[in-house]
Amino acid sequence: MSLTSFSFFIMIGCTVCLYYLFPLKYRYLVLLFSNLFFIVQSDNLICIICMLIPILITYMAARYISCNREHTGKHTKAVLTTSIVIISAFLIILKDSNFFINTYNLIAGFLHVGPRFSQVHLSAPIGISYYSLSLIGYLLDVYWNITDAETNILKFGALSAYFPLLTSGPIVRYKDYASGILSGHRFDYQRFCFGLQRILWGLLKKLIISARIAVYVDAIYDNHGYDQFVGTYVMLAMVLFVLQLYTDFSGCIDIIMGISDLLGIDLPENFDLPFISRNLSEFWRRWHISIGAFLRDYILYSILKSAPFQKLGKICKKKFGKKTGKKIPVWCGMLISWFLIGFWHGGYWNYIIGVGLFFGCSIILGEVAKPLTDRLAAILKVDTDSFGFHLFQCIRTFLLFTFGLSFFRSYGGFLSGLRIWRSAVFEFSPWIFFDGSLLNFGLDAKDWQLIVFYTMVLAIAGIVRYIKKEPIRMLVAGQPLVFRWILYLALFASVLVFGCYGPGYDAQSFIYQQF
Amino acid sequence: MQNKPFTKAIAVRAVAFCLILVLMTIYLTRLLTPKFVFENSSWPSTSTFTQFYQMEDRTIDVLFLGSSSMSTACIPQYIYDNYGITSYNLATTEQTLITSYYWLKEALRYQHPSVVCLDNQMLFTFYADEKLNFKEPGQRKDFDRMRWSKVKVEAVNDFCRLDPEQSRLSYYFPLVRYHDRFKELTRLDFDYNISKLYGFAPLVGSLHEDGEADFVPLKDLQNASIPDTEQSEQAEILPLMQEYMDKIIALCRENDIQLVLVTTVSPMQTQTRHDHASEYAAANNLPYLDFNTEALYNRTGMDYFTDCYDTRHMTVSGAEKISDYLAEFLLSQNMVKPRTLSCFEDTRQYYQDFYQGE
Repeated sequence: MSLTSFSFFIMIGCTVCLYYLFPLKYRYLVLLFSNLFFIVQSDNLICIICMLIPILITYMAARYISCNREHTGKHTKAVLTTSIVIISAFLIILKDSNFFINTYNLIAGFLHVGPRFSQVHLSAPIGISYYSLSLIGYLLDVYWNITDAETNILKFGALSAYFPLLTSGPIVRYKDYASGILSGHRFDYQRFCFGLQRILWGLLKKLIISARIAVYVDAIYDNHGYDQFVGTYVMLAMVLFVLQLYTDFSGCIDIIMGISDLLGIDLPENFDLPFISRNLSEFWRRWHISIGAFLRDYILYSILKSAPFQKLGKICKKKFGKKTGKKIPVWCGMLISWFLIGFWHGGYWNYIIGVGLFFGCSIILGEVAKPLTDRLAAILKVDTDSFGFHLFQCIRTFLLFTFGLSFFRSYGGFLSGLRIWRSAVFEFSPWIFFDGSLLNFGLDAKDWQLIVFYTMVLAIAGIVRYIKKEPIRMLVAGQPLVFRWILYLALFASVLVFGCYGPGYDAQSFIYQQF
Repeated sequence: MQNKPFTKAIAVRAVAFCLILVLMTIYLTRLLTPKFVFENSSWPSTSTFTQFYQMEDRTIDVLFLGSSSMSTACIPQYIYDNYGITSYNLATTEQTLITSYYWLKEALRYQHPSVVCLDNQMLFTFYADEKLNFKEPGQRKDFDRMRWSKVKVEAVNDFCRLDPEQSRLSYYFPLVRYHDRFKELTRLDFDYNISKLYGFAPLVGSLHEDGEADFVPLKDLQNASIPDTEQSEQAEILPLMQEYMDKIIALCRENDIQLVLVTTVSPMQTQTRHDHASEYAAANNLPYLDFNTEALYNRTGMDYFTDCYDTRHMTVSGAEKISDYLAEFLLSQNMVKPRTLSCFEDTRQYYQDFYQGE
């Protein structure tokens, strides 16, 4: 079920109405019912079963661990490990089987040994990447005694398959959000309005900006368009893809957050003005926040605390000195984490490199080279606190992100990613912005004007939020009624008229809905 | 965030805002829905349907239905001026029998005609690749202006059942279908006048801005010739079209309306088609007037080169000849009686001026 479809909004309307009609205590049942309805509408029977098994296993394992935590340590650990292995197996087999098949075929081909296997086409349940990680996190939290196990299976169903989260996350930690999702909420008019506004804002991003940019980006990236249109065409597509992904993913998150606001449910933010970041580490703390937080809390820290890494740390300290030796295990842990971030997106090397190792390596290189760049700045007498330098850092971060993401978008794999980079620097042809060349990709002048205009609207909203340090909707809520209404009506009319939807438009699903 | 109590004042404000939202949506829908008027289209269906709804109830005695051939062939004002028969031409371009059926049903909510003259060319293949024998844009052009009622809901259900690729939602919320028209808005989308020709579509293409074919009488074309009619041989009656023709017949019988089948001058008409249509009409005990037959062609004084614009549409002179014949036929058969109607009296001069202008 598409998040921008009419039937989805009808479903949301019914869910909200029923939610507030039900007694406070039983409102989680409405969520449970909506989850089931959404899953049935989105998946086939096998996928539904594949979703229910890990949820049931997690529920039972958490109960077992919670009840036997103090008595049988070995058994609880075995239950925990087995459960995590099963959940991960579902995730990896259903999503990433081809990664292993392809890698095996590559190695076998290289060594000229063994048979070759053809790719398999398995359909994975909607939101498997999101709920699987949340379930693993929940089990670990129960095991570490950070949170209590949920005893009511219906509540656990409502929580673990909360339907807005199945679309594009964010990946939630149950210890922080379980009570918010499960406890019934009273109708809050202002929050309800904020929810509607946020949904509208998300639709604006997706339907006006992202869907239009997709036309150009697809023309360049798909079917090896980058071999035919080189240089500035590709460079523009690379930059626009960042904007497309941002408006698509954050637009989807806005819709999810908006729906949750309608129900009075708090969820963690997944974006926090990523383009003001001055380095890649900061960028990833502002972009897809929940995946970074999950891997940091549950994987990186676990890796660093593990016995082999402790041992590695000691060896490195002896060999490279205290300062550098301390960092080497951290860098190794970071590389593993970044590999997993890439792998989480799908078992393809363009993902593993494009949103994984490329950024891991860039961040590590940045740290290694930091003394050098600091010294260079001192020699050149660069004021590192000046606005100009900050801007330079933001642009540098953006470009690095753009290069990484271009790899991510090259669905053809590793070699396609390299070809895109080569194609981008092949030719500098700025005249394409003036001679009408850009009108040959399915977008006319009005489409480009809309992209530019609404991107500026987005940028202004971001700048205002950055300066005022308050969400825009809170700022708008403080304005006079007439101003507010005009703004809301303009937003609504914009989506209604300029949005890409309806017959004649190829309704594209949200990019992160596939993960 | 502090929980704001939901007071009466807030409720009033919320309702007011929703009301404005709905009004704005209605306005945008009206603005963006295409208008087909004389100034911008050879086929001014917006005028046709808008004027129809402005007619006083139960004043029309003859209703013309069918495709573009019919819309260019019958001139209600001319028929009234010369024979005193009140008629309305609800035929529009590419109107197939499904649409004709629903327009007849819709018309019966307001009018009770004694006679319906139906163009039967759509009994046969028009668009071979289309499920419903018409293209969706043309069908929307013929249908979108229908007022909402049970009839329209039934029609939408039928269209979407027969052609699942159509978007049901886009009928209920036309913005879904037309919002992209913001790129092509013109003055006429904001301010347009409807012509008062009672549905008659005079083809004077050179005046139009919509890029549709210029209609030049065949006599003015070099090397013009009557096409080889047998080339367009797709002579079998389409089962779906027959189903709706049967429904039209039943509806007319239910309402005590005399149905007359008509084929205007058209090279699409072949001997085989004529035979099939004749058989069908005879089987249903219906009069059938085929202006392509030698007898009627000669009797009306039709001249293909002066009375046709292209392969199947009439010039005004051709339309007058067909109108004359039809009016005389209806009067001679006592199917209608002449009468006086003020709106037709009021538009006598309008038509004369229009005619002079044309």
